[in-house]
Amino acid sequence: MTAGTSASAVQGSAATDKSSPPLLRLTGIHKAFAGVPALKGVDFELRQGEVHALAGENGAGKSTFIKIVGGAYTPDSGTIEVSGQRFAALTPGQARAMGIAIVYQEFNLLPDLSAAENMFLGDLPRGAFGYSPRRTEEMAAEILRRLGSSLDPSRLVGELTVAEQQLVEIGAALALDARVIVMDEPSTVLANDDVAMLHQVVNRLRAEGRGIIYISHRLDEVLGLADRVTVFKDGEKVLTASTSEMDHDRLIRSMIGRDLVELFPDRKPPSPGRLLEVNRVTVPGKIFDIDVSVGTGEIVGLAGLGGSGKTTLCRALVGLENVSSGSISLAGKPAPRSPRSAQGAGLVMVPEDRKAHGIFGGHSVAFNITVATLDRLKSLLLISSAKERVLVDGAMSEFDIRPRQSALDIVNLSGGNQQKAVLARALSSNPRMIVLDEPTRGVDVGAKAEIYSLVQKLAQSGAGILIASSDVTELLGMCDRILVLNEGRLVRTLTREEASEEAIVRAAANVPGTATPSAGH
Amino acid sequence: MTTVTHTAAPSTGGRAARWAGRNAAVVLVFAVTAILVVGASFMSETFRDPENFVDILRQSIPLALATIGQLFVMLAGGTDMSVGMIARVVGLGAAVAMTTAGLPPYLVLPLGLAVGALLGLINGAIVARFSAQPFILTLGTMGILYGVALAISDGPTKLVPVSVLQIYEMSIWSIPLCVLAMGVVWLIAWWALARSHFGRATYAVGGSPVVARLAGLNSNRVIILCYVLSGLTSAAAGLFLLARSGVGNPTMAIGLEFQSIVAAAIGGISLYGGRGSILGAFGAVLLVTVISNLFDLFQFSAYWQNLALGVIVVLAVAIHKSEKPR
Amino acid sequence: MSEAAVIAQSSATRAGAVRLLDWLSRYAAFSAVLLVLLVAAFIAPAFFTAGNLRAVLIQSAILGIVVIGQTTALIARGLDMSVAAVMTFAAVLVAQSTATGNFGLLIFQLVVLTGLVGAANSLLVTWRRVPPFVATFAMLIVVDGARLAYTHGQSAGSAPAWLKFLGSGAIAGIPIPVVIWAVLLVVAYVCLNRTTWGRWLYAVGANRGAARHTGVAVDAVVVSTFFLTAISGTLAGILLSG
Repeated sequence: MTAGTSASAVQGSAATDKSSPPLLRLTGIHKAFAGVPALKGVDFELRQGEVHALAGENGAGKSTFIKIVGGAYTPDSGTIEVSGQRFAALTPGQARAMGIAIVYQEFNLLPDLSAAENMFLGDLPRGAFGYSPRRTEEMAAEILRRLGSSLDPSRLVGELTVAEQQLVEIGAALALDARVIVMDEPSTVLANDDVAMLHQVVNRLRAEGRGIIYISHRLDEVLGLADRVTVFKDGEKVLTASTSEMDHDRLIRSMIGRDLVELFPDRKPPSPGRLLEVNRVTVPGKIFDIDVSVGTGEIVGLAGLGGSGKTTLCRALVGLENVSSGSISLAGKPAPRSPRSAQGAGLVMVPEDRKAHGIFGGHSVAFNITVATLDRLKSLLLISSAKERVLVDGAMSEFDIRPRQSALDIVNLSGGNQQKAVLARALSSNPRMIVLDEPTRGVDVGAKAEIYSLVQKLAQSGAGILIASSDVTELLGMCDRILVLNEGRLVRTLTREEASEEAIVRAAANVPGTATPSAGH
Repeated sequence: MTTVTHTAAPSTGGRAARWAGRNAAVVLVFAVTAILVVGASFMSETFRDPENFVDILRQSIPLALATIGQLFVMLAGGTDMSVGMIARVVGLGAAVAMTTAGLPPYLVLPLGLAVGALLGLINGAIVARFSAQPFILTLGTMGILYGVALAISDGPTKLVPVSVLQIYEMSIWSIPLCVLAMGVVWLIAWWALARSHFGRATYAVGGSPVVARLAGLNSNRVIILCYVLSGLTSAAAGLFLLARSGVGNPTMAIGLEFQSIVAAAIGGISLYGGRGSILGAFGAVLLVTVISNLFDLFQFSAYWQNLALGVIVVLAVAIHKSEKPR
Repeated sequence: MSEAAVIAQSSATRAGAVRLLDWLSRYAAFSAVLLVLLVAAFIAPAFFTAGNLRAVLIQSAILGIVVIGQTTALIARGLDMSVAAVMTFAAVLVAQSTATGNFGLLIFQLVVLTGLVGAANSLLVTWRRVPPFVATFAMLIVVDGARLAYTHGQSAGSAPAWLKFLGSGAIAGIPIPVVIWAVLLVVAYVCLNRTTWGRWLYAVGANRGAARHTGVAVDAVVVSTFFLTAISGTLAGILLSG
């Protein structure tokens, strides 16, 4: 348990005011996107002087929920009650006016303006000659003092540390005198020391009678800091309870425990030879001392929460990260330093964010599939459209990409089909080591099953596969071994037999006692 | 409860030092200007003459006006390529109005400024409402105004009334009135940017439209106002050029838009918006004008001036901290 | 007419209008040209004489050659503002070569011009990470200044005879610049659609991050576009002085 949280737990329950009307109450909230439900009839209540934690796995609906609270989304049905007034939906302006402030994970700050100016941006304090920086800074310093900080508000936000920037964001909420403050995974971006300070800030806010909705996946934090906790699972609220009545096990069990859909093909044990060897690799600030090995025909999983370093590790394997120590080798040879040379050596990485790093929007499916292996399409130095058609048609039928029109702009394909196209491109160079980062994010169930069976086939033909995923069911269904990362370190290794949803979730949240003494293979 | 301690508020001297580090390029601009001025003062008697300094300030006025307008537009995330043409149309139009039509200056001059503001309004309105690309749009406006200027007059006009020439000539205790007025304009511009709500909003709109919207700022209004200001200052520049030369000319203010963008670039104003300062603009305008003055003084071939200016610009852009592309 | 029929008819008209507008906007440039030609037929019939059309075609060809180079830069989400100055400088160099008659020197000068400008633009954009607009704009001023310094304001001589042929001559009745333009268009089409480089260009422009992940040599591609714009500018300048 992080230092300071036990003290704050005691203070917490003392400040919560159960007698006055709740600051915020949502009832029966439904929200679906393109027919896919994100929230199914959710209820929620926030009292004065309360820290109410919101927990649940990725995709459970937490982000959607807070966007509705902040007015960025409109619910399909349900009511929002704030300060005694009822709404079917809020606009961002209304939410602000009603005293609701949201501190997002990605800060909304202007780096070239001072902390004080950022805090009071919509409503800068005036002086004799127009906006007065001195008054603004005085008022900002006052707020920061209330938060327990002596940060100089005249400093430019661009120069502040992440923790200080977060403080400015919280300060902006106070500048509005927000009664409801929503914090979206605020501790994810902070180092340990800063987290303790953040908790102290939250305690001060609670003592002022404000209500805080605190999203976190760190179980210690949830149980130690919050007064109550609500758990979302698959878009539904499954539990609201006082944290004094909860413990780790109960919490975890409420978050997981769904039927393992029969998506996964049978797995024959691999006969591995060493393929990928990662030894004590460190990327400063992100991952530390990690050992991974993947053998031919083996499927290894990487589990972990946001900020655990899964993506950093995947990127490091193709030379996109600054590896300061340790070694990576592929089939005995040192690892390539760029995606291009990696592909040449037979190693490909499918990135996590399709939109940002995966698809070439505005271009055809054919373009997207062939762009990595244009050499194969050549006859007489030029790309032959005949060869291209053959290759693309073949890939589209092998990966079952629908609709079967290679000239279609790839943005018109569904998420699942886009992902399949990206996979087709990655696999077009016949790699023997494949790294997949969140391969089924935003993919429908049908396409998921197809991707799983594809991965299985690849493993059986001798390729080594590393899957980084926040979908625990996926890892359980596919992998021979699962490595769990937490805060950039390898904390647990589980074989297929040992692995269970609970074991993975516990290790990922670094519940004490789950770390393998000799984390490794 | 323990107090969370972050870095404490530093002394005033510390604040100044920090500012200097952050705006190193602007400091460099002033430093280079100072070196040139000091060096030239030793080397040339003509330069040392206080009248020359005053004259430098006077010569800097058209560029100063144009750069101030350009500064606002660039901070808001755009570029105004029509600056030169607005100056030309207003200057030429005013000349024709006062000579051929015989209208009095006290009527024509304010009207000219109003026309400039109106043209700026048109620019700003189209950029804001239709989310048009500022560079392309103002390039188009520039083209249209080019034709308008030729339509107004295809040759030099007659001499304007003497009272107009006074704008350029009149002095109090050997300091030209226009230089004092320009000083006031610089102060007003500084105030508008650093001390008004509008100024902060401009930085926000140019720096991050998303944040601006979340803070409840009216981006459209800010953008339009910036272009109106640019039109206004361009018109003023055109009228000043008219006062200086005494006649209107269809080739007036040629290249003014390029010069203002160059000055902005040297002064550290980001082309992507959200970053830059009046001080930087001032320093750049001063530097450019001093260099031109030195060229004339030491009789550098006019033909080398452009090249030298270009090299300075290249160095300036290469040195300024690289920004993240959008 | 019944209300339903009125509504149906007006919405059909509206749908038709929307389709027409959509088609017009996709082919906006062509539509504009057609419109202008239409107006010209009434206002200025002299436009359609053989001599005038020929001149317009040659001007279009020269501009078109520059556009080809610029297009490659734009596809990769860049821009080259310095082309105009390169073109003018090249034209000046060619014209002044009549004085010396030294063909070798001219070639050397043109190569140096193209190389230096392309290299400078490339360095500023890929090494110093200066935004393309700013970097090439600065180079525009430098090149223009260099030209003025070189010519000392004197107007250039006239082009050598062989060059006049290039600029004003014809093959099978088609002016040479037009021929060159047509050939370059074909070459550009082939390169953009049928070579690795072309695909990479589109990839860099569509999604830089994805391009890097896919192993595209992003910086090399960007550099190539700047050299292409410089070359196209020089070529256009040569033809211009003819």
